[in-house]
Amino acid sequence: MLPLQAQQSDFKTIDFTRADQIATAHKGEELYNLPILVFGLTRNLNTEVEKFRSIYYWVCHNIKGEYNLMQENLRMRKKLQYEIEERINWEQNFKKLVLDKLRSDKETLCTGYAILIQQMAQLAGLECKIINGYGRLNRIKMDNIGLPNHSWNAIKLNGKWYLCDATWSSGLTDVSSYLFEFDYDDSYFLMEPIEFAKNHRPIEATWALITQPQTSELGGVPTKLD
Amino acid sequence: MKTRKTTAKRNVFKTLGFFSLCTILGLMANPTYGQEAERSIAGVVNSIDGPVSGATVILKGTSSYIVTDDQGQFTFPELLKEDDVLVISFLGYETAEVVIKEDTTFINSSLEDIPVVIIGALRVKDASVTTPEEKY
Repeated sequence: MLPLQAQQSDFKTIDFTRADQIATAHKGEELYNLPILVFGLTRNLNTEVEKFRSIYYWVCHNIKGEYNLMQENLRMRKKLQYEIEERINWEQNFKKLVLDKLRSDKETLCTGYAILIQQMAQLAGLECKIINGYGRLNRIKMDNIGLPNHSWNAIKLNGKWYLCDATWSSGLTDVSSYLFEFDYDDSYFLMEPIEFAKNHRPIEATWALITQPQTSELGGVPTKLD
Repeated sequence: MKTRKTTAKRNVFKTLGFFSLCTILGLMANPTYGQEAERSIAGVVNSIDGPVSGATVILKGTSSYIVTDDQGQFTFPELLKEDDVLVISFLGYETAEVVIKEDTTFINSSLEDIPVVIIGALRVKDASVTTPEEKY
């Protein structure tokens, strides 16, 4: 049974200052040795939520969004939308490219963020899932026939599942220069599920963590970037 | 007479029992009791795409580790014993755990691909947009 309304305010008594300071102290570290990075981020923290906070804060302050990869991904997945076999092959190769880029340049797009968060959380002994679905992006036309366009995470802390979106917490890409700017948005860290559902809809409705998925903001139908 | 012999026999058995008990307790107090001696562990890490170069092999619960070479091979820098756990990870693959068994000297580990499709919706900053809510 998934818990309802698990959110950051469940941890009112926890001060994240220390977790954030530890993450900041590891700024600029590389991803080549993930277990050692996770060890450094979490070993002096006692609670599950602080360990996860340190990981999340580090990812959101050290991994850049890669706009060109996103554009290429959207273009090819749209082009190959009905060429299933060809699309699967392309997606497999693209995944390798994205992971190489993440490892070497610390730049990625949302599934890369979600994979990294999952892997680091697991190395810290936490249960974490990648959730695929539809993310509502303002000012970009959506329609109702598309493939999922976004990934985020569900994290299990003290036996309850919570939602977070490291991609959207990390920052923004300036479309005039295509440069990524870190601009940490804490609201997507363990956001209240009803609030989260305003612009996130998982493919598996259960992972909205609410009994009645809030569909009004998303128009009640799957959406995609056009 | 008979009673004296029986008492002597009992004393012998008591003494033997005492020494046996001491021996058993002594063995149990030894940290290597019930375990094979520590030994060097080597191995190779593969994936569906072949040898995984740069994978981290770490002794669980410690910061003792080795990174696989160009052929995905490694020799762990510390001697390991039965029930030690090696955690093998590489970004983009499922992390694997290998328990050292009584006779383990070589590990052949295959990392599973994470079954996800890469998708991406990044937030963008549009100069024409002024309200924070629209900065996606």
